[in-house]
Amino acid sequence: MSTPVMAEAATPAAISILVVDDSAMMRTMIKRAAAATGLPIGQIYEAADGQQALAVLERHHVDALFTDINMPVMTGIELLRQVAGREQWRDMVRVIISTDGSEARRNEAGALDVRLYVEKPFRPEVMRDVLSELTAAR
Amino acid sequence: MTSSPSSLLLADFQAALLSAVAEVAENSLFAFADASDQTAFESAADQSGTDDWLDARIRFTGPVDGQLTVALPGALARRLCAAFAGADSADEVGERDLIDFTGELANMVCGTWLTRTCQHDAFTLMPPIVQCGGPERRVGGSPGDTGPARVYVAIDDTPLLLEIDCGTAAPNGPGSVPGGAYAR
Repeated sequence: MSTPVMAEAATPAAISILVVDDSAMMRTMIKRAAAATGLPIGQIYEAADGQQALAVLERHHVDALFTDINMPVMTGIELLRQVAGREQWRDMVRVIISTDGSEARRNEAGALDVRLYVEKPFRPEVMRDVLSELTAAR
Repeated sequence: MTSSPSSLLLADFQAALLSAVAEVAENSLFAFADASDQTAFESAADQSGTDDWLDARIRFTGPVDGQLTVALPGALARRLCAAFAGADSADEVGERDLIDFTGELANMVCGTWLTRTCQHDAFTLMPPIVQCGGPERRVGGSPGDTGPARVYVAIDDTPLLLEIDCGTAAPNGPGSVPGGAYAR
């Protein structure tokens, strides 16, 4: 008698994300929206500017980077330029969350391998759509 | 009845700002925005405590340079902050979060307005500066004033004031914070 083989449902691996925004309230809102999606979210890191974000990336594995653009010390665009120059971060998904939705800024982001561009203000369910797309693509 | 070109421009400007506030209110604050007027704003200013008032100023550069100021009663800021943060009550909102949120509110309104108005050109927003104090210096403006353009908006029936001053040069850097103000 053969032993039945149980089909295991594929459990997607939890993704770790880094949220970069100079507003602590906005970081909280993004984290809350991510946690409410019901998707497998692992560690959520935070940074208040691009320089802090680079320090986090040096120490931790991050699957998806969510960054604002206009920030003191180092902007999101400069952060993305630094990320683009590093081989070990090649597979990290990049998402912009910004009030600047201009065509010029979107083009600039596109040249820096940004996968998705979310305009502030956004409804919390937008985060679910974005994370669903990211987890499905893994 | 005909309208002068300047009054038509002002109407477009007011409509664009109101639209930006409505987008922010509905998408992120679970609130409703509508047009208001100076009389309603001054009445609200009279009723609110003179110390319980917040101003958030944000400078912008790009296709147009200038600054936007949002002035609103503290009680409204607390309610909106609670909604934004998913807090159960406005009583849970701390002062630091309130300052941060008020700056972010100005950031979202200004960015939305610039994106919708300029569309093609990128812009830069400086870190917002938030100031606590009374609304008295906002009251009393008249249509003949040459200062910043004023737009009165109500969020959930509470009036607030938006001032836009375009063409101002030498935008503030993050370090130039006047006394009594907070930069996040």
